[in-house]
Amino acid sequence: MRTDQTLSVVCALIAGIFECPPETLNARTRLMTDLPCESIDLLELGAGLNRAFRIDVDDELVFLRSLRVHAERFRHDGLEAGLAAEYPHLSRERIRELAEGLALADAAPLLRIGDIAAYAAHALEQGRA
Amino acid sequence: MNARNPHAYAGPALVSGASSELGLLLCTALLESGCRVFGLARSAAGLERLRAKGIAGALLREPETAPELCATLAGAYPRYFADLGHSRFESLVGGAAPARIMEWAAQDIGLRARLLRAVTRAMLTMRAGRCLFVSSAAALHPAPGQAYYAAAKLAGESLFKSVGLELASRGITACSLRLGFIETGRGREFLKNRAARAAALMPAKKLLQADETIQSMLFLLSDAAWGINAATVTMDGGFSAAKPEIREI
Repeated sequence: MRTDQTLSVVCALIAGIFECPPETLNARTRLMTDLPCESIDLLELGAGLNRAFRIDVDDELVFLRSLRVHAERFRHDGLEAGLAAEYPHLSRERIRELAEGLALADAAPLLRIGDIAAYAAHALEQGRA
Repeated sequence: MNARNPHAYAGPALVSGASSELGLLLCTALLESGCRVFGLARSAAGLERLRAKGIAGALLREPETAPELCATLAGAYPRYFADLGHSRFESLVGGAAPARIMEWAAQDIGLRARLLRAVTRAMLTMRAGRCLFVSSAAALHPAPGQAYYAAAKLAGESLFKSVGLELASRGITACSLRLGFIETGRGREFLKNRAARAAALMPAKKLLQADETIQSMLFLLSDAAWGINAATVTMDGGFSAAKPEIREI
């Protein structure tokens, strides 16, 4: 499955959960700030990813739940390298963006739809390997 | 739906502990009602008992695979889930070996939690599901030697209650049924020389019959019972409501 197809499936899943048109969603849409997303929505999304892509879903990883914990761990010891190791599905550019976002004192939750699509694409790739 | 069971079921039922006496009775009653059934057993002998009754099933090894197995063998993800599973481990608290305690926690609590997680995640993709945990009156009133059994039952009740609270907004509800004395499984062993005395202490002066508990399970598992959510129903004929002095057995 191509990356844009993966993103399209993820957007359709999220549109179903929030009952919004899929075309209003894209890779840059922030789950926790642009949508009325709560923990149960993420649970439903995780289950939906599992079913749609036939992949094992680690909710902790796909939803970047421990992002700030990792940020604290790697704060003085190579933040970008540390995050890249924890989130191998994210691109270098996205890791850099996350690191910059974490540096802001009042940073909002950073999870974007593109992160979830990247997780699914990576899991599919791993499954093929 | 039939004369003995007026309830209709909108999808397959996954039954764990399906090869126990009550499990087999429940599976059979569901099948007779036109419900597709997928049973989980913990042993090859248990699986054979299921097959002998014409019940599709599998061994409970990796709970995470259960919904997919149900989809393959019963046609769809489980829409209903009845959990009657339990090991036969009983011991005084201080009498259990440490390694056995760890095994108990993994089997009677951990495995149940994993299965419930897997099943409810599958139900979430349909936004519909009904879960029933078959507990025991011993959860609240354990006899000496039932501490681990009772603790696991209380843990199960708690897990199912939380599912009902967390997922009701997604169409998934859950409840527990605490059963009293019944002459099946471990109850039969306990009542072997005590049935008459136990019956005499029941407010109705008779013991519950297995079929009567199945009728309750059929209802509690049905969509019609959705309002009984995050709750525990006691079905012991009123035994546990009596004063302690007349409950000595």
